[in-house]
Amino acid sequence: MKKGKKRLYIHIPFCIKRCNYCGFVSSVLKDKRELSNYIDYLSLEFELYKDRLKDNIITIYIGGGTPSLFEPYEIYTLGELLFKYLSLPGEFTIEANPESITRDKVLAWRDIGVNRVSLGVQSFDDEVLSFLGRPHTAGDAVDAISILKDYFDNISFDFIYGIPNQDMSIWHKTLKRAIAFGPQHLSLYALSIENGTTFCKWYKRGKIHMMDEDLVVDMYEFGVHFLKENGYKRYEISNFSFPGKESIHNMGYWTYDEYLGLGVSASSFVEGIRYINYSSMTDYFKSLKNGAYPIAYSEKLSKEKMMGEYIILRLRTNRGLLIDEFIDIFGIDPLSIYKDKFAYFIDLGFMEHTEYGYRLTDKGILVSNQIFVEII
Amino acid sequence: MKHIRNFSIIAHIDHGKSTLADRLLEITNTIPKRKLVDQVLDRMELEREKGITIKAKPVRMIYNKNGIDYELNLIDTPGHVDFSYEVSRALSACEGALLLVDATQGIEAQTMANAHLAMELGLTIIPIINKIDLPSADIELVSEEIENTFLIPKEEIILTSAKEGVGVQEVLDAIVERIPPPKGDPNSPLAALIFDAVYDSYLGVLAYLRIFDGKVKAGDKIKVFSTGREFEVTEVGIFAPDYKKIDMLEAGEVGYLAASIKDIGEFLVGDTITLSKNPVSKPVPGFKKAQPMVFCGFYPLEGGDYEELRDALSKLRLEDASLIYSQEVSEALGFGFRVGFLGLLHMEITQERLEREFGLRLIKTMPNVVYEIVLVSGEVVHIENPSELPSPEKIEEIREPYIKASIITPPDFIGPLMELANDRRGKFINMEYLDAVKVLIEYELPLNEIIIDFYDKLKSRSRGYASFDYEYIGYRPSKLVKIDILLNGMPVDALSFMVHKDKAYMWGRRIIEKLRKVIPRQLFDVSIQAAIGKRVIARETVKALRKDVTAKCYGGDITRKRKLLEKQKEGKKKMKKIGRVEIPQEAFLAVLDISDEKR
Repeated sequence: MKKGKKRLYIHIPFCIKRCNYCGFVSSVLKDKRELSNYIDYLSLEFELYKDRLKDNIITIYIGGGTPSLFEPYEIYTLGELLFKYLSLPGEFTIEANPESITRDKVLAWRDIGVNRVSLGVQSFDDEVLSFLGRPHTAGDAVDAISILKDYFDNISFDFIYGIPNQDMSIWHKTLKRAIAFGPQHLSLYALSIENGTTFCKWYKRGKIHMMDEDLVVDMYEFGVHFLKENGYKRYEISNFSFPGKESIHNMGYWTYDEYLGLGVSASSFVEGIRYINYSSMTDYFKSLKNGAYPIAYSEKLSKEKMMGEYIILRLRTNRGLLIDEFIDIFGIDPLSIYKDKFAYFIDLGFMEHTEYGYRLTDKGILVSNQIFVEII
Repeated sequence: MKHIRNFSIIAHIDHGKSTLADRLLEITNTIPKRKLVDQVLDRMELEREKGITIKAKPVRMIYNKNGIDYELNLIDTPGHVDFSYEVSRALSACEGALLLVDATQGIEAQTMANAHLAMELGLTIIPIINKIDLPSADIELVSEEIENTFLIPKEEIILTSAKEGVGVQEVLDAIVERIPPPKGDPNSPLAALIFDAVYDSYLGVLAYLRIFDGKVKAGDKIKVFSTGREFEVTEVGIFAPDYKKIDMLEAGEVGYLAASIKDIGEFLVGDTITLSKNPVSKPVPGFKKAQPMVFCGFYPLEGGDYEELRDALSKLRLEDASLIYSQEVSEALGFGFRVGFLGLLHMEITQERLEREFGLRLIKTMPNVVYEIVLVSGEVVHIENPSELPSPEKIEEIREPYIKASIITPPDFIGPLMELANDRRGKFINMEYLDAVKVLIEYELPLNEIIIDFYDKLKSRSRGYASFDYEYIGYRPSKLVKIDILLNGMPVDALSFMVHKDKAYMWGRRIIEKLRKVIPRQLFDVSIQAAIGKRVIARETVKALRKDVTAKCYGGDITRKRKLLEKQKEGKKKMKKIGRVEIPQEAFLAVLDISDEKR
């Protein structure tokens, strides 16, 4: 891993309702006071990491859950907390949901230094949104976007494709409407059925079926092509942006930088060790109350594991694997280990040479798990 | 000797043989009631579960009638056609047999076959109708069936409910009164029939014997008739019901003999034991070496378990002389064994025992019969594995084993069952009404056609009512072809099989369709072909995988993603690689139930 520069992730595990597909750790907010209470515990966790935070953080990402549930006063509290421990980073993203965006909140975000908003639009089709169990309509998203655009020039939209009741024309319309707003960044995610979700229950009961694989692929390829035509570059499997507007924070995950995750269920990667915080709020609180790190899982990675991880993360990106960077980090030529495998995938048309190393082809990206399995 | 009675019980599965045996043991106080585990005669867990007796186990009972103690030796018999030779040897050791028929089911095919065998051997038959307590019992009808089928007067039939203990006393009385005592001369040279052999970890191989003439005791030097091998007797004893050492066994008696023998092959069922000094001139008639009729490959699911499989087979072989095996190497499956069986049940039991008692996980390849190949040179060879088939230009003729099948069914199912038999290349021989509700249908069929799922089909087409028995009738010339299965042009040896040429296309197609379903999509198209020699008769393609991508990989939770990939990798490791093609273990199992597919 590359030491020094760190990214900070803060998880806000609350939503006003649970979406049918979502497998992230989050609970339905029953009492507004839970939010301030949660910030109190976050501050305990900050205190534990204060040495690591100082002058080291280059990006902040507040994700969830639904961070846009915070009222302006809570946002200011959070801001105070942050800057007690660190200085304003270059990129500061907050995730937001259309139904909870107000002008007051957006102003507060800007006041504490947020300079990028990732909006969970998911679709511009109301039927699709209701099937997904989203608590907003397409109209809510349009309203939210118009507010955001008044204050931010770095906005990202999230969309989901491969949804059972969505066809190609709906997908096409959604993307067309999206780019009309001129977002700097888009993330397109194929629907997957995660354990414990409503979709998972429906799927097991035969109430819903997975979309035909070929159609999912067609939707992805359409998205890649359509966005490219409109000036967006794919820089990672699911991420597209105008040149220079890539998410610096997210990019760090794929370039093997260190990051610190705070909050329930957040993950960290520091000094070759991966940590995961408790995903139960009770355990998380209890641990912090006792002054202990709220870590549920940690794993010191062997060099082999790290090399495998590095490659599969790097291969998710457009630049791909950089041989020199690999040698810098691990002190060994990756070809001495993976040459035959790379040759096999190049032969099948799934990988290609770049000036600095290797990357996946369009065809390879679509079956990337099959390739990663051979590398880890 | 005149107070000894040696007898067996002939019954169909589930007609109550073991329950009746339990009651006999209980009444004669051979085993006190409180110690009686249900069905004591069925030793192995597997036997108890399947409700069948695999191996004969004798037991000695003392029954007092009119102040005289009678020694009753019950020689139990396995109830399945695979073991018909063992049944015949067990029956040879007896003077009488109880013919036990379920009052609700009537006579079944196996009962009929075994009862006829007993009659041919000159045994006294005591007919019993059991389960008369059940509401659906039809005593009148079953009595008629017995009378018509075996020409036994109705008046001789004893009615019992072994479960309730009804009529069991009469059975004991009939054994004493009707079955003649054994004949034989204790002073003649020793002639003892081995009707079973088992391995005991303390005593070594035990021969279960019926002494026809002479006597034998510890210290005697014995000779095994077929091999001429000589051993010194270390112990003789009786089944009381546990092994009980006694001084001497003599003419008319049933007991066991140990001679510090390690290899069960020394005491083959049906063979004769005599004394080295003063041997008999002729053996007890009827000995033959059991020939395996069905073969299949057993491969460990985990390649590393090969040694364990070898040890397990050698342990099973200790107690099962009819099990034969030899090492086999498959390009697809690696190291394994080709194993020969007396029949299908024998195969199934062996596989289950390997899995259950030894904790092995196995891949079983498609079972096949032994083919007789006449070469152009005039030489005749037998092949136990389709992959050994010589090249076509060397073959003059291929012969396959045939059986005569006896099917007993209610008349309602005649149509579907005849259709089934015809479908399996059967030749109709005879049909006969045993009574108004039972028909006997006889067919000649290639053994190959019944080794996969004939029995299951027979049961499903007759809603469970039909029963089935068969006997070998020898080899017949047949138009057979070998079908090879190719994946991306590479033949997969473990999937080759032999089939009649008229069925080649249908079977080839069915198998490749099945394979298309179980072989996962890979990074390239996988072509699946069925071919006879170089001629492809059917083809399918597993289209290349288009999508296997984790869209979302942020929030930094790399650990979970990596673990999913690691799991996927584990799954891949379990696949067998044929060239670049990865095939799951199920592919080899899938071909076993191809006929479950809708026709």
